[in-house]
This record gives sequence, C-alpha cells and structure tokens, in this order.
Amino acid sequence: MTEYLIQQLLNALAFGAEYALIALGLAVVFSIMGLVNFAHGEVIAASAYAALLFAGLGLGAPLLVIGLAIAAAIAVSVTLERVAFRPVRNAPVTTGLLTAFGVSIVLQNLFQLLISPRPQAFPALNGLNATWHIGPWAVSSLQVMELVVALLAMLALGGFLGRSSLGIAMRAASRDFATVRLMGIQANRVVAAAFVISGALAGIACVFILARRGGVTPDMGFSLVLKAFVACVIGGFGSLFGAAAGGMLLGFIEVGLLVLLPQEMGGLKEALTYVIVTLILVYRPEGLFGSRRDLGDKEF
Amino acid sequence: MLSVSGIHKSFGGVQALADAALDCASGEVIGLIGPNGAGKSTLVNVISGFLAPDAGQVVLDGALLQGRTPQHISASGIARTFQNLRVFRDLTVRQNIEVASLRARQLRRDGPPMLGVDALLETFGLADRMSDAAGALPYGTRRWMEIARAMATGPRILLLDEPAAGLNDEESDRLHQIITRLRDLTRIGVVVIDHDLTFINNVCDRLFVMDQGRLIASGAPAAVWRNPKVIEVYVGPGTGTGATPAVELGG
Repeated sequence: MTEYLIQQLLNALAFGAEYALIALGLAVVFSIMGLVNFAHGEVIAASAYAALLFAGLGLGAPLLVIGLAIAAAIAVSVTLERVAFRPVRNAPVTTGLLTAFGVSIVLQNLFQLLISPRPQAFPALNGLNATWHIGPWAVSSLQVMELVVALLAMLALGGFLGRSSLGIAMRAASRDFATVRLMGIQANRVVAAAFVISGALAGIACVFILARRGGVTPDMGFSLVLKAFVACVIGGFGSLFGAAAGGMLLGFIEVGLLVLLPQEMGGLKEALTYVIVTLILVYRPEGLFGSRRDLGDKEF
Repeated sequence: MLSVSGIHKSFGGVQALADAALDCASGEVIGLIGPNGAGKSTLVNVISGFLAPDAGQVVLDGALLQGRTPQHISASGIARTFQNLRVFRDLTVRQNIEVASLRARQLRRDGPPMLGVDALLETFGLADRMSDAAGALPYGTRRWMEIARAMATGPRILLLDEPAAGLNDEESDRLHQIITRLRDLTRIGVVVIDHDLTFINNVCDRLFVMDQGRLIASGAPAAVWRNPKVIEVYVGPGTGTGATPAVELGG
C-alpha cells in the first residue's frame, strides 16, 4: 500500500513537473508580450523531429540527442518569434492569439505532409527509462529525473530573473513594457530572450516526452500545451510562480482522481479535472497566484 | 544643448501649441511655467517624443529629434519623469535604477560624465532602502527613485514633469538640493515644469512662461516677473506695469 501511494505521489510530481515546464514556457512569453503561444506544442514537436533527424544521421548518443533537441527547440522558438509574432507584436491581443493558432495548425500539417501522420519510433532515449530501487521501493528513473530537472530549470530561471541584468529588464517589461523601452532597452532583445527561455523549456520537456513515449507524432505537443494553458489559468496567467504551481496542482488533481475514482469511472477523469479547475476559478477568477495587474495610468 | 523652436500642435480644432519654444544649455536649470492648459505638458510630450508636432524643431546637440519615437529620444539623451510615477513596483529600488542604466552603459561609454547606480542611490538618499520593493515606498521616496531612474539613463537633458507636486516643504528643499547637485556633478541641463512658483524661482536660472500654447516671456526669474504679459497672466488683466506680483515674494 505504501509503495502504491509513493508510486502515485511520484507520478503526480512527475506529471506536475512536466506540466509546469510547459506552462512556464507559455507564461514567460505571456508575461512579456501578452501572447498566449499555442504554437508552443509545435516547438516541442519540431524539437522531437529534429532529434529524430539527428539520430538518423548517426548523432544518437543520449547526451548528444538531449543537447541537440534543446538547441533545436530554442532555434524554432526564436524563429517563430521573428517570422510570425514580431509582425503582429503591436496588433490587438486576439491577433496574436489567432496567429499562434495558425502557426500551430500550419506546423502540425507540415509535419504530417513532409514527414508522416503516423508515429515515428524514437528509441534513442529509452535508456533513460529504467527502474531504480531506492530502499524497498522501485521507482521510475525517468520520473525522478523529470522532477529534479524541472526543479533545477525553475531555480535557474528564478536566479536569472532575480539577478541578471537581462532578467531584471524582463521582469520590468512584464509590468510596463512602454516604460522599459523608454529606458532605452530594446524591445527585441527582451522579447527574444523570452522566446529563448521558452524554447529551452520546451526542449527540456521534449526530451522527457520522447523518453517516455519512445515516439514522435505531429500532435505530440498540442494536447500537452492545452493542459499547460489550463495550468497557467489555475496559477494565474502571467505569474511564473503561478504557472509552475498550477502545473504541479494539475498533476496532483489528475493523479489524485485516478487513485480515488473506481476503475469503471476512470473515463470521468478529464471531466472531473475540469470541474475542479472551474471551481477554483469561481472562487479565484484571477488564478491562485495571479494578481490583477495595476493597469495604472497609461496616458503620458 | 537643447533647442526647441516653432512648435505647433493641434488636437482636432484645438490649438494646444502655437509657436512654442524653449532652450536649455548644459549645466542650466530652466523652468517651464504657465497657467493650467498653457501647453506645458504638451510641449514636454513633444520634446520626449510622445507626441509628434505639426511643425517645429527639437534639436539636441545638432541632432533633429522631432517626431522620433520616445525610445530613440531617450537613447539620444533626453530623460523624463512623469506626473504619475511609473515605477516598476515589483522590482527593488536598486533594480529599478539598474534597469534604466543597462542601455546607457552600452551606449555612452565615452559620453558626458554619468552617475553609476551606487552614486545615484547615494545622491538620492536611497541607499538604505535599495532592497525594498519600489511599490512599497512612500510617495516622496518613490519620486526620488523615479528621478534617479531617469538619471540612470545617462541623459544630457532631464525633463521633470511636476517634480514638487505632493512634496512637503522639507522634501521640496531636498529636491532643490538634488537638482543643483545633479547639475553640478554631471553638467546636464534640467527642464522643470511645476506649479510651485517658490520652488521654481529658487531652483531655476531662467524661466519660460507659456500661455495658451505660446511662449509669452523668457529670461531670468526677476526679469520675467516684471514682464507685463506675465503679470497679466498670473495676476489678472489691468494690473499694469511695475506692479509687484504676489508670486515674486517667494523668490
């Protein structure tokens, strides 16, 4: 029984860590430029296809694959910003949202047409998925690594935003972009930094998804990004801490329901998850850790 | 030096600025005054790039700046503060000033003398509060921080939009000292808009008086306050030449 509970706890933590990683990728971009980047999932998928390509070229050593996948995700993320999001940066929020959906659909279809709609096997990272015996318990190495890496990534992000000049500029920009620009800071630099960070987080998430699934599909990122979006909403959109906490909470809700629901009601898991999410929002419309932005006086 | 001339600006049918002008040399503190609606803030918004003028020139050290973006103008060396303080509330005092200094450090390695973040914290008496969140500061302190932040961009001209508003007498005196000190340390030119005429008379070398979008007088404070047009605007019509306006008592 204890072992079962520990296993489920680890499950919840690992799922939560994955949602948190992806949610952070959304939140970093949103906090700076108010864009909900629904194409974030396609950054993950593109990074997975890139890893597949590299493995096909003989660059299949696990560490190399991990490095290349993260680098590819950063490159794709920054490219999307340049090509798709920069032209609509000053457009109304809905334009950015629709652009992101458009990019997402175009990329998914490109993957289907140019590669294949069918899953591509990707065994290079299967080695990460082992069973570790810690004391009396058997745990999945992948889950432990995912949790640890997600925590390290969040610490690194926190350190970057708290200490480095660019990080401080990003935090200022997330509050009042216009005034930051008045300080002479180039908007392009701050926005590009947000997409680099978001891409790196997508790459890290991609590595774990690949290792767990052992395959690549065109829509592998999309449903996860929807979950991450929900995590951001629960945590409070725009708040990075909220995104991470919302991701964790979502992991716990899902696994908790799986444990508590009788087997024949397992199909209700998703529905009940969203009922709980809705209830949270009824009582905290701004999310658990969100604050209503002080819009302040934006005239001159 | 900053030279602004022939500025016209209309909003719809309303002429907000008609041939407005001012100039400010390095190391000089000038005051921009006039009754409400005279166009002072509009002129500052034109100079800092928030509004494009219909006609006229804004020249800083030979570079034409009218109609450029606020970002460009800020990077060219004109910094401003706002009536409503736009501080980054979540950042600490030090971080607020640091953000503003980032670009300046890159841009003007061999430009005019610039105060570093620590020197600014010291000058504005913010050193002991530098780790506090800016949103938690009392109003007066927040104002020091906003001016310090504007200074951190390494400007040649500093535009202060109603810096004394909401300050008590003691804080006004302190603001006076700080402006003089900044000017002496960095030789910047300072343009002050304020309604507190005592403060303006004390701190400014020259005054520019506006009324209904026009420059009606300029020069040393004592001379400006003897100008009949200025007296008419501030004291009322028919007061005549030579009368001593009440406001001069402050000077």
